[in-house]
Amino acid sequence: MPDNTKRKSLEPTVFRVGETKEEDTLIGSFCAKCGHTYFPPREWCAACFEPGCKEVELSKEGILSSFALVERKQAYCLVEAPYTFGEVRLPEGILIYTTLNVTSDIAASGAVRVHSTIDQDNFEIFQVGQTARLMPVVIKKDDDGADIVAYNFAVSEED
Amino acid sequence: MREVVVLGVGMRPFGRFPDLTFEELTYPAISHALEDSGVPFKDIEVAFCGVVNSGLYDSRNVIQQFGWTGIPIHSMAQASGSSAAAFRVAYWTVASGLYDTALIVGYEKMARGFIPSTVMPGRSHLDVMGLDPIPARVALEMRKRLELYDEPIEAHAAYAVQSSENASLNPYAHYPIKRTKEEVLNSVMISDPLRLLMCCPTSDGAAATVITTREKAKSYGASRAITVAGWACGSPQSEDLFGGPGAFIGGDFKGGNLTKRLVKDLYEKTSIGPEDVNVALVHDPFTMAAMVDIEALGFCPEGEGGRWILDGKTRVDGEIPINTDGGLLCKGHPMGPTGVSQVAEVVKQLRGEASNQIPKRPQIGLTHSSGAGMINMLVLKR
Repeated sequence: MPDNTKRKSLEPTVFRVGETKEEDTLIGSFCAKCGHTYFPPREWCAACFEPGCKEVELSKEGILSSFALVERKQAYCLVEAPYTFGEVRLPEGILIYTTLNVTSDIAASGAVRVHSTIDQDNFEIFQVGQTARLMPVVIKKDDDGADIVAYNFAVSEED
Repeated sequence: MREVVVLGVGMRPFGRFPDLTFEELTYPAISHALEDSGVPFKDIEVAFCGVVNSGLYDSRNVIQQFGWTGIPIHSMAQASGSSAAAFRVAYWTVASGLYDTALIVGYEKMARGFIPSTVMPGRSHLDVMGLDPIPARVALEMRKRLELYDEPIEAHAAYAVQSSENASLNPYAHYPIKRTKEEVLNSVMISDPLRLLMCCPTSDGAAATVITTREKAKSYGASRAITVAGWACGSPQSEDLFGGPGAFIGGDFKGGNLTKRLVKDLYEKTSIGPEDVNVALVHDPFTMAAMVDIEALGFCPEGEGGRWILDGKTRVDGEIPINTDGGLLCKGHPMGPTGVSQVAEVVKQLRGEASNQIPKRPQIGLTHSSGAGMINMLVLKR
């Protein structure tokens, strides 16, 4: 039976939810004058100090450049601790701070919670240099029952 | 510009003082600084406060508890560098001839636990997604260091032990407790690979200093005046943020880029090099920051900071003693007064009056303060 639950982005200025999950994308901005790409997107270029950066869709795959296990969460954070905090370098040359999962783990979680079953005991599954793919997750539901979706990256156990 | 000197310094021990008002908190620091300087309060022509969390009237009350002299009172908030920024602006006003004598006061009472990055925590998607905790961001950079430089985790423990030993001799330290390597490496994991004793505490506290011109200092019979030989300050440039997540992260955890640029200018302006610095108080809210700092300041080659610390080169009797008061890591880090507390320690070291005195009395000291990635540095000389 098809899942007709409505999906909304947690923050549409940085992450756009598509018609299908495959169309979900991170939003950056690009300065045509000096060639720099930014995430989060910005209107004024930080390098040439001019307005006019244009919105661009960013790559859905990058390289894991660092990661850390967060043992305690802030009160307002919707992600349950422990969770994995990662830094992914995209081909555009920018770094994305993101939550991290393992692909098989997301399937098992039912994709309702961002956090996975990662903890100190299996944390070594992550390695700097792994390929990380955009794998958005549902972070909460709104009052109408729609899924509120946040960006997230996942590494594959096979990588 | 006129020559400016530090005439007096004063501190309240850092710690937890939930029942003290800001007047009570700052009174010992300001009164000690005035007494140390020999300058009566009525001669103070301008006051600068450095504080992040303060009420509407606090900065005025803090200063005017010593008298309603009608002087201008300024309050500056620049995160961990608030009083360092206040000192720098006070220095500008005195060096430029606007005023002769200034009082700088840093004070703060902090909540326990994580420091929110914004005044609207929970508003940004970064907060909601758990991407804002500073220790986690530091842990990311720390992992890179460990891998890139093959840096042993024991170097981080060694720095924490060194800081605890320094703090144990500092009567103003929040945690004057000697730690062992084993205690550090077995302390609670905050964000793998970062452990509790590799992080500074949040603290309450106050620190104050009085500055004036070299000429004016003579009228106070000051024989212990310490010269402010140079300053540098700045915020990150675009090259520090490229590839980064935005303004949340400062240059201090991005390879010390901003520190490197600023200190180059500072060394040129003061005609010294890193080899001339005899004591440095650097911004070390985490063990990793100390390593980034000593490399960026030119005390050791890039990537060698951890090994230098392991070799004892940053100890009080080492090649370049750093954070002889225990640093932010163990003296405590109340944000507001942290910058002036660094000045206080360097002044005491240069006078030969420090509680953890460097055996060969130093001639030149350096302070390095970072607040939200914006840096203030000073060179002090005797």
